[in-house]
This record gives sequence, C-alpha cells and structure tokens, in this order.
Amino acid sequence: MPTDQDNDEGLLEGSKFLYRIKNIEYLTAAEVQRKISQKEDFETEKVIFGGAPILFKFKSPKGLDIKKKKWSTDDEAKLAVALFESLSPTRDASVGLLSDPGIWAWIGLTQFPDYVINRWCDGVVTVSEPKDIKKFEYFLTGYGNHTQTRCALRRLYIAANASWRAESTFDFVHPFLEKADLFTSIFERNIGADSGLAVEIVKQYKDLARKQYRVAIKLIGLILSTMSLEYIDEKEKKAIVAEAKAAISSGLISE
Amino acid sequence: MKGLPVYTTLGQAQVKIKVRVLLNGIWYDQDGLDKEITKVWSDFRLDLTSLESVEAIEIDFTATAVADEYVKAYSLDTIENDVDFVIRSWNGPSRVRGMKIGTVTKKSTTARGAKVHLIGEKTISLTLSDFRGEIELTPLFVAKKKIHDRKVSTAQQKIELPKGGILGWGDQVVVALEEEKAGLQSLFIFKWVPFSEWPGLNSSDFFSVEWNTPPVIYLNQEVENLENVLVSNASQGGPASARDALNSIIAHQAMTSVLSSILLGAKQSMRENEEMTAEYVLESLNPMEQKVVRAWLHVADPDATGEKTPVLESLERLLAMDEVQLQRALIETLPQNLQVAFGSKNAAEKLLAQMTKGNTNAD
Repeated sequence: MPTDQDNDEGLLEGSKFLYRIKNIEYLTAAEVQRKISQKEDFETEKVIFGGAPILFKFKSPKGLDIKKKKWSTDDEAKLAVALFESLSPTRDASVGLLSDPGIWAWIGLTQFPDYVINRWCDGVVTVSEPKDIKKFEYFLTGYGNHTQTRCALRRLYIAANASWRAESTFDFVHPFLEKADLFTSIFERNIGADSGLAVEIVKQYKDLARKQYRVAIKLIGLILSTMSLEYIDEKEKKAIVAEAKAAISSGLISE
Repeated sequence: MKGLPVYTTLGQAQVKIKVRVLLNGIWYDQDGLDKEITKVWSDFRLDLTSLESVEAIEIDFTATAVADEYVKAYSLDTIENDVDFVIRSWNGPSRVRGMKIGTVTKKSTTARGAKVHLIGEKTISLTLSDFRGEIELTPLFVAKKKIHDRKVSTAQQKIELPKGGILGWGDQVVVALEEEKAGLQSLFIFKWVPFSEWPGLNSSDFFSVEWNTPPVIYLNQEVENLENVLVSNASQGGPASARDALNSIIAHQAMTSVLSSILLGAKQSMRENEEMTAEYVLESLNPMEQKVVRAWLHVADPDATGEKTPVLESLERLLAMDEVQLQRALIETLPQNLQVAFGSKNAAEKLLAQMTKGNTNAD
C-alpha cells in the first residue's frame, strides 16, 4: 500500500519532502489498481532540485477528513487550495517540476489515495473488479491537456492555480470544480492555460446550460485563432468571452 | 499551437534563426557544438534530447515579411507603430503560454516581386528546467492596436483589425527536450548507424535488435532511401506503404527476439529453481522486460483470448509447458499473432497495391 517516507525525520510536524514515483513511464492504470489492491509499495525517489530536497508541507483544511467517502465541491475546493499551498516550495524551486508525471503520481498514490479512490474510482480497490481498471488512470497524468485535466489531484491544482494566477484569490476554485464538464471544456483546450481567460469564462458561463457553454467556448477558440491571445489584456479577453456568449444567447450561433 | 489564419496581409514571413546553448555555465553557438549533436537539428527543430546538461537556450529570430499586400488595406507610413513582432511560446507539459515582444523595421527592397519588407527581430532565452517535452515558438506579426482596414471597409461600415490580430507568421521553431514515446518507441531506442563501420553489425542487414538495458534497434544508414522512408510522415502513397511494411517487419522481428529471449530465460531460471512461481518470475524482470511482457505476452500464449488476458495467466501457462510445447508456441503462435497485431497482411497488401499501381502507370 502507499508508503509514508520514514526518512524525513527531523522535519516539522506535517512536513515531508517531495517525492516522485520511479519508472512512471511504465506505470499503467492496471498496475496501479493491482498494486493498491494487493497493498504493494510503489517505488519512490526524493525529488532533488539544485542539489537540495524540496519540502511538501500539506496542512489539512479544518474540518476536512481526507479519507471521507463522499466528496462535495466545497470539500474538493478546500483540498485544492491546501494542495496548491503545499506545493509552494516546489513552485519556488522550479515550475517545471510540476510537469513531472512522477510527482503527481506520488501525490495521488501516497498522499491522497483515499480521495482518488473514493471520488473517482467508486471506492473500489479489489482485484476482482476489472471494469474499474480504467478509472485508476485518475492517479496518472501526462504531457497532454487530456491526461492533465483527468488526473484527480492535478485537476484540483489546475483549478486553484488558474484562480490564484488570474486574480490572486481562490474564489473561482469552487465554480471551476462545480461542473466537471465545464472544467474540461475550459482546461482541455490550450486557451485554458491562460488563467485570465479561464477565470473570465467561468465567471460568465457558470450558470449557462452545457449545450450553450460548450458552443460558446468553441466560438472563443475560433475568434482567438486569428489573434494572439497573449497579446490582449484582461478587458479584451472579457469582451471576447461576452461576445461569444451574446452570439449564443441571440441564437446567431448554435450547435 | 494551432491557430494561424488562412489569410493575412503580411502572409508567411521567411524566418532565420541563430541558436546558442548554455552548457556548464558557458554559452556555445551552434558551430561550437559537436557536429554529431547538431546534425540531427533541422532549421526549425532543435533536438536537445541527447544534451541533458543544457541549462538554457537562446534563439535569435529574424523574420522578413513582404508588405505589398499590407499597403492595400493599411498605411505603410505608420506600419512600425501599428505592428508588433512577437514570439509566442507554448509548452504543453507545463501548461505554460508565453510571449515576448521584439522590434519591427520597415525596409524598402529591390527584391523581385516586392517593394517593402517588414523585418521582425527578437532574441529569446529559455531556462530549460522550467519546461518538459517540446517548446513551440511561433513568430508572429500582430496588430499593436485597432487598425482601420480600408480595403474591406465601406462608407456604411468601418472595419477594424482588433488589437492582437495576426497579420503575418513564420515557421514554428520546436525545441525538443524529450520525446514522449508511443508504440515500439516506448520499448526501444532507435539508432541510425552505418553498419559497415559498426562493430558487431552485419553490413548486409538493414536492422538489428540488441536486447540490452535499454534495448536498441539499430537501423542501417547505408541502405539507400531507408532513412527517408522510415522517417516519412506521409499518410498515403508509396513512401507510406513502404514505411508501414518495413515497420511491420522490424516490429515483428524485434518482438519475436525479445519475447523469446525473456521466455527462454525465465524457463531456464525455473529449471534451476523449481519453487519459483510465475509471479516471482514476473517481478524479477527488469522494468523494460516487465513492460514488454505485460503488454505483449498474450501473443505467445496459444490459449490467450486477446490482450485482456491477465499476464500472469499467460505466463503460468507458458512456463508450465515442456520444451517442445514452448518452442511450438514461439515458432507458431507468436508469429501468427504478431502478424495480426502489427497489421502485417494489411501493410503487405497496401505495398503490393502501390506497386501494381506504379506498374500500371508505367505502362
């Protein structure tokens, strides 16, 4: 079963160093399911950057039991913020580390396995449930938008990161996580990597029906295909998001 | 990153780049690097996958666009104030979008078919530890502010190009830091070498498999056109058919060698220690061998029902076989199933169809 690193003694309570799962390129959903169900350890290594290890200091949000079976959006938003804060030393060292699938697998498999299993794998960890094997991909991530937004812990981080980077607040974490489909519609596209645009979309589209926001987000992509998104400011992004919404609402554009 | 418009007034600019890399605290330009490294670079793909100690890269972009169409819609007098040159960057693994603004200079020219050139220049530096995979860098000419388009405007309607609107673009430069590998590439390292100069390789072969850690498939550079065909991205036509057929042959041979080697080795271990279980055998394989076995062992198992057959089930069956049964599985079951798995028949048919077509055309 997931291991607690016992060689991090001497650190403050609640602190440990950041690790990664070794040979992550060979780890499949089936292997994750098998190892968890058979309570096998995952081989880990300490992350060293610039010659030094990196702290991973997770402080559980007050009143949140991270082993709970049922997860509300409120609970997930709290976990997302706490996870984002626990990765502050990692960001300070190098943001590039957060692209490492081995680190995300370590976070999911060793720090929050109950969250991933209960929220995304139906709580099932027996070897006799092969139909659920694919769901264990929620422990893993990769280099593409699709695998990033479908990694349970990275999804939380993406929401918290976008909210914080855009407006230095976590107010938009909840709206991002509230509708799983709205989340993927935004962040599975390259435009979702622009925090300002992502927040503007969730602000304006969170109450729209699925059919409407999906078409509107596609339209934003189309508008931006003739522009450089990086070149425009927040006010101009807001206007583009509003323009797409107006086109949908007026019936000018439909599915 | 996708998103270049079909039509722009500045069109596609000609791009030239100069590259420097920071290695162990010292900047080297391309000429100062080992030729073996830079020969894999193309004009627009900088492959740093074999240069793990590169700390940073600096790329100097010069893009030249012809402004003769631009003048039909906008003013040439103010072009330097209306247009910016930018380098847009995208790195998928880190989800980082970025942009750096350069300079633009208008220049009259006597070049054939052009009166005015717009030159965009920018040098950018990238700290490589911030990225993974591939970094895409796209040179763009963009509108600095809303600019009136007199070509499409009418007396009734004033049309403006919005700020950030793309006016011109250049070829994208890709900095490859590591390859995300799929299929056989995730199992083997591919090396192009001249077989006649390489110890242990036979110059009459076109490929050779070395089951090492990591395993290597050597490909013979001396076979005419082999490299061109195998690295071709064509989706149809002669090169695509030839590539698929050759890939199928290589994959077939590589997988046969590797699975046979692992299974015969495991059988030998079990003979030496009869208490050994299939599970123990599987766990004692190195990660690369385990990966091959987990993904492909079912093709050697005569009783497997496809790739969903649990690997331990297949391994137990194969290791329980006597020598004759195991040899039969390796020389009968394995090639038959691999032909299906690698689409060998399909690839051969396509190649033959292509040849027939070629002959018909020749007639």
